[in-house]
Amino acid sequence: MMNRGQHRTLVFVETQAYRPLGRRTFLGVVGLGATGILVGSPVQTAIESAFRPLADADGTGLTNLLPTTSKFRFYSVAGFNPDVSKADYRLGVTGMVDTPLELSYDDLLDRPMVGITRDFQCVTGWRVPDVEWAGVKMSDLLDEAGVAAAATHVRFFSYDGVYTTTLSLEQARRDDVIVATQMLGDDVRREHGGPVRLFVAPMYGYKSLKWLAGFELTDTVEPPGFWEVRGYDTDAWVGDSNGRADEPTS
Amino acid sequence: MTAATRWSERQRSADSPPRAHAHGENDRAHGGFVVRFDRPERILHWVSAVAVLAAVVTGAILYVEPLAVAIGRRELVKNLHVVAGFAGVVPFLVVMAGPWRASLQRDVQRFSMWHDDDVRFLRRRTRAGSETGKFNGGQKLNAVLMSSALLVMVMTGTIMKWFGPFPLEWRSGATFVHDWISFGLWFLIPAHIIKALVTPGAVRGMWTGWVRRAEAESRPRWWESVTDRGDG
Repeated sequence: MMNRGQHRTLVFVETQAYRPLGRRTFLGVVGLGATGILVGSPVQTAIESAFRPLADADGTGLTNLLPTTSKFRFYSVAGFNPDVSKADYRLGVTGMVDTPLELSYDDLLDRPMVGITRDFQCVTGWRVPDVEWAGVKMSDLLDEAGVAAAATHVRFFSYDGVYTTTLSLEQARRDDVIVATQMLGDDVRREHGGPVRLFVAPMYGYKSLKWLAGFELTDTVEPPGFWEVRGYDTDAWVGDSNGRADEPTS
Repeated sequence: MTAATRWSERQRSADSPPRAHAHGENDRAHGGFVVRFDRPERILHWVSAVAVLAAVVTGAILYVEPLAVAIGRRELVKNLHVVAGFAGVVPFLVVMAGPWRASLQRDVQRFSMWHDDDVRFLRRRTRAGSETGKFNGGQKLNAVLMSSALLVMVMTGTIMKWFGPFPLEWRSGATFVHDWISFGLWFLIPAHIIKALVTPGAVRGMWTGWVRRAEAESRPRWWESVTDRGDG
């Protein structure tokens, strides 16, 4: 018991046998992490293209668990995920139009379908290559409702009751903006915003509103959409907005 | 019976393990037992463990699409994930800030300084021919990787959550780092748990604080720093 209570600050006498390898490893990992924050974006793009053949050949979906991120990530902002059946689905077209519309899912299928294949780019960095989409052109629906001359913008609403986004009338009339019923070669699944969502090919994903409940024609961009209020650009061109330099998608 | 006599009785009795609750008691022998982790260290370990596991579970719900769809309530899960993440590292700072840090501080030094034998241990993956300290090379590597990874997760998670002041590129980069580190942790955490479960006395050591004297003696560079060995 002689040494009981002895105050010890150092547990070992530092000799040549000891090296601060633990400290170096710790600082190394933290340094790599910090570097990754600064340069991770292009590195991720490179890794994604390297893994793409592997992911394409994988029927099991296991590569989806790899953080190579050439896949959709599930984002929603509401407290629940809307669960709308095709039978109950209605698309409302309101605001500054000659004829307000209320279209069922079957009504949409009765209209001319267009198919487009584009990369899907999220503003947080992930990109899914060559996604197949099909649906009704926005411009067709706008023509059908008859847009008032004074209208300048379209505001979209989601079944989640929270999410909104806007397009200028000119943007909404582009051929690559569709009300989509098909995605990835199948009906739009619930997690992807089904049964009906918006797809705005040339813009970041936050414009491609999920669980589309309807849209209204207005003469103002105010109030901006959900993410636009929180700092995202209103004109969300891929590669030319939000301070990002991604390759354009359309 | 006063607390002081109870304390000395416990020291005399070689067959009852110490209740290592006071702080700064580490690396002290009590008869047939040695205190490996004092109470602040054990509380730190288990609070962090629960928090990190909660972060792993909520992270999986956010990341794995079928889980995300099945469970929904994304805002809630997201907030829980953030709270769990911070709860994983704040206890360390609390312990290090108080007068109860002595034992933890010494163990941090051990993780930080590696003996040649630790390196040898990692190369050969055996203790044979090397004189292990309180922690062998594998345990040191686990501690260093786990702590550095958690720090990076909190750094990157902070940028992902409060991205406003940072360039958007940073958020992509932070997401990228967060993804890959979490991928690594999916291996490191189970490896740590399995290793602890299959090593006799390991879980008990972290739960009660004590290990058997023979275990301490088999780690020569630890044993030489153990006090109250009764052979002094």
